[in-house]
Amino acid sequence: MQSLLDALHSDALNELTSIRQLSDLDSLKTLYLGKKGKLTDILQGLGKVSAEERPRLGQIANTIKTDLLTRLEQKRDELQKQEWAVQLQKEAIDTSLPAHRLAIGKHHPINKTIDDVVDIFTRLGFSVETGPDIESDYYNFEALNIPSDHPARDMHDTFYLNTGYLLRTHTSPVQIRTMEVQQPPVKIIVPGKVYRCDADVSHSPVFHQVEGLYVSKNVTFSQLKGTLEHFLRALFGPEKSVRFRPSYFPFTEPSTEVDVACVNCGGNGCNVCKHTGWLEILGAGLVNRNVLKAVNLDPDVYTGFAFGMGIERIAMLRYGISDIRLFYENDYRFLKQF
Amino acid sequence: MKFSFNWLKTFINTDLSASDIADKLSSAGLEVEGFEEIGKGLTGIVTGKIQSIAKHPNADRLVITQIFDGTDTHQIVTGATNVFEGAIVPASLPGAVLADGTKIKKGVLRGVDSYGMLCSEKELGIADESHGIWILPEDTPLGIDFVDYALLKDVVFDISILPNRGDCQSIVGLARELSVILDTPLSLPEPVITESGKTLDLTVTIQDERCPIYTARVIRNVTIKPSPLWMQRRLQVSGIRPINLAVDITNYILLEWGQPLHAFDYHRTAGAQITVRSAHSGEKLTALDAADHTLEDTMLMICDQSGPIAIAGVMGGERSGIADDTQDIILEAAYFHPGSVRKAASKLGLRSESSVRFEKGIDIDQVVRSANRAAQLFQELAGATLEPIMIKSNPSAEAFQKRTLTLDPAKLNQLLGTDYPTQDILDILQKLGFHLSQDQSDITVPSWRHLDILGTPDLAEEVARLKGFDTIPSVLPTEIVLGTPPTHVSKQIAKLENFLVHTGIMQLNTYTMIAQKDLQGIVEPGPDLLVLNNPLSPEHAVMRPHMLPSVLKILAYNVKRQADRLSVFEVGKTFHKAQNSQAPLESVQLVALITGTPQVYFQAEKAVNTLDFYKLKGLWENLADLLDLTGYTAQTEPAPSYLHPVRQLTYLLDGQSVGEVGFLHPELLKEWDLGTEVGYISLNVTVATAKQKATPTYTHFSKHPSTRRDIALLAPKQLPYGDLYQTLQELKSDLVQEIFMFDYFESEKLGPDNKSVAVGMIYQATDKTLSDEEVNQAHETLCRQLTERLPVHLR
Ligand SMILES: [Zn+2]
Repeated sequence: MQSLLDALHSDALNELTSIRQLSDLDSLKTLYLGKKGKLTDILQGLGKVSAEERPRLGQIANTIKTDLLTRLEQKRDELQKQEWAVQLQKEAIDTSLPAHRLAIGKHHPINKTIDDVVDIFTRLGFSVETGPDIESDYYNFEALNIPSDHPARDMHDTFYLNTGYLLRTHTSPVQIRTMEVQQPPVKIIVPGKVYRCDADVSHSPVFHQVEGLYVSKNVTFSQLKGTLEHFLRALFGPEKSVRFRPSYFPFTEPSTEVDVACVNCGGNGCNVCKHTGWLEILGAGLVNRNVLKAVNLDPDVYTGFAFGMGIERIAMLRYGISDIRLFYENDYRFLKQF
Repeated sequence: MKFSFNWLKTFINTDLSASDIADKLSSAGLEVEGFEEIGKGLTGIVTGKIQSIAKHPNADRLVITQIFDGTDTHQIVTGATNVFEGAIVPASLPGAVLADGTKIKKGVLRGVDSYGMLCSEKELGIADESHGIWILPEDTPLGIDFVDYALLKDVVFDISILPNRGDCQSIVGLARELSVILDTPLSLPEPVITESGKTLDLTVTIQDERCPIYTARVIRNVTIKPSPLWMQRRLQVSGIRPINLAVDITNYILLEWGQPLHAFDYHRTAGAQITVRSAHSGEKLTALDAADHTLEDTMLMICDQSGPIAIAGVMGGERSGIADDTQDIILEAAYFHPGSVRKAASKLGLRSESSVRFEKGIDIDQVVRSANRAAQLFQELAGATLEPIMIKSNPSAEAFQKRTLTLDPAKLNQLLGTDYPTQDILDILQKLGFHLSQDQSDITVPSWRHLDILGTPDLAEEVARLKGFDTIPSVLPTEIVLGTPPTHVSKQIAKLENFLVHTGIMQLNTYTMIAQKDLQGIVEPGPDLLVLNNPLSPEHAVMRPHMLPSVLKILAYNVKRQADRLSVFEVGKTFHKAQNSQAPLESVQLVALITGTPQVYFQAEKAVNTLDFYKLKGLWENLADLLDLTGYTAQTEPAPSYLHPVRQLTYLLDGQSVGEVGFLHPELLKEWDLGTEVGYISLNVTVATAKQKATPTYTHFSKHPSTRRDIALLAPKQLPYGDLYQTLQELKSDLVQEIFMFDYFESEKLGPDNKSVAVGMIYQATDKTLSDEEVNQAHETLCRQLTERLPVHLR
């Protein structure tokens, strides 16, 4: 009887190996292990076996059955996987066909640069303020210590409107507008469009400035230096050399112009920096006493610093752009690069 | 402004190189924009007289000259045609080096020996172009080192003089500044002159307080001839063209002392009577620019008996000017009010070397000295006779008053954040010409800084710039200032911009000024249009009242350059004139223009991706969602002129237009040469963000299961879906939570006047699970009422 069981075992295994389809697997299972299957047939002869032999043979038969069931399940898994593979293979596509993207949308490089600059200052506690593009002579000039017969007006080629108003030549009027309604400490950053009657490769009649103002008690020039150095290193990299030169602006005293080591040559001198190794990037200074007086602040009590920068210049240096007019052509081939 | 290093060195001693000087000036606040080294390497040029000129045996175009240098004679072959016997010329002998680096050697020209070369101005590096050999004045000595004699070697600094440093608009002023920066003495020789007795009449009357001092001197027997070479060279390198000795001397003093002078022809100055007064309105003057100028009564004039002869500080008149036959002159040296000169110059459009100096302020204490220095030159160089100077002044005028400031070193240090020792501060200020009081508490501002130094911050700047700004420590402010959050509007704008960019639409940044013609078909230019008085070009001449022209222009520009699939937008300001001359109105508008479809290649997807009105509408409503905008309505009339009349919508919020969607009007497309359909979306950001939304409060939502029922309708084509939806909203029971269209078509089978609309409805109660019966009953009632109310049939 044992030989019958062994033969059944090896027959079943042989057949299992040759099976290729899931449906055949089920018939095989029925053929050998079903209620009327070959194993049941053999076990029906168990009654003729001696009582001592019976448990042993029963044991063997059970082992065979378990083994076959395990192997059948293994085979089932295997076949199922194969079937999936065949099925999915039919669904093959050409994955190298071009991607369907949304059209390319990008932020304008000027807007992007403004955001980055403003971010650095808001982290230092500056609040964003804005003001009108169309200004009065008072806010744009008079209140900023630039009376009408002052030679400093030559630094501003101004557009005038048919109403007597003008297009602001800098974002500084927002200093006045803010201090008129807000008591110190005032700590603001002002991005915006500004206008000058001037156009060439490096001048555009419309451009953008970011202006900063901090007015409180005991504001010093050394705090101005610290703030601007922090800003320039945050923008251009921590190792950047920064230089402060004395300069003149009617609304600050003392005044300074701030240079960074040329981003193009690193300070060795090249065409970008006119062989000086430095790039002028900011104008700044301590708020002129007359400006504080214009907003009814006592200059003996309050001091402050102010600074301003041209965003186009910073964007040009950042992105290696040599013609300012590219920003306003808004050519798709230009815009999609940023 | 250009400054000759040679000239500067006549007042200070320095061995520093030009680039060292440039660095030191820049770090002290005088921005050197560059410097030019003229005649660098030039050497071995001598003067010689052409003794004879002989024909060249082998060349028609060459001649053989014998040049005598006072000791030896040199044979030099030249091709120049302007040479003549007796002429004194510069010659480069073997061993010499020309301005362009050419080394001169003995040569043989067509078989004749030539020991050097006769030189042109170009070869000596002082002119870009020259014609022939430089023929020198007859009195030029022979055999001298011509490079030194004619000042051919120099360094010219180009310095940008800022409006507060009027004192540095002269060689003397810059030398004074350098002497402090370099800590080297300044030598300013006092002019030496011999005055004759008074023989010619002259009267001066000042009738206007804008002239605190006016000096005039009659100078007789002036010969009008070319000025000496050294003077011409100094004028040339400073950017002034030599004219004649009299004019050159006035310009020379202007450059050297920063004192503008004016020379009148004595005999053409009517009555020899000079009056300083304001112009009579409408008076006329033909100035030295040969133009007729109509004067205004605010302008300060110099007049003689018969009227104006000069615009004070700006320009002289033609009638009384120096001519070739001039013999006797009146030399004016005066101080005119800076603002007054500036106003007159800019009104007349006459900016001169003189006016720019008066505008920034000249040194009132040096007026007479400059006049004397000029007189000295007239005496030395023109052999003129000097009559005594006539000085009219008003010593109580503000310009003469010395400004005394309180000196508080602690306050100065506090302002800078520095710790400079008091002694250093005092030293620097004294070197700069400030006068310290006995007790060191007061300090008097030097006359040449009168307009600029007004208080402690100015003193702080003087000390800091000479100490060097790098000596000021860098610290961050430690005060905590509470920042205010970004304004509602700017935050909302950022949201809109980010959303559109992420949707695949390109952000633009355009000029706010546009061409008036670009408004055609968009906005009728009305009286509220803001127009620029002084536009740079007609392309940017009016302030845009609408964003569409700006964005459309960029779209058209890019389409012309073959960019397809364009979608662009900008959130920008628009401008309108306000009533009653109040400040113009600025508002913020978003305009997006969308063309083409995303690049897809499967036929089915092409249909799905085609731009249609409902995608535009969807995008607009997405934007509205982003701003939490609710309660807006849509209207189809009136249609904006620039949109397709029956494919557009205007959204209203509280009766105000808050935005529009649609396709651009085909006529406008044609105007802009656009072949494709262009989708348009606008949002009035100012209106849309006017009301800040409150923080939403949570409302409980039903957790009971919902049931869907659909209605399939055959409806007349004319019946807008909006009406159908509105009717359903009105008729529905409280159990309906949501109504949505899920199918829509028109077909031949339905007939030309019909359409099929299928609407889904979600039924749900908040307090219980609805039974089928309840839902059916509600739904049937709704269907029945709908068919009664509208001409629709259930399908
Ligand atoms: Zn460089």
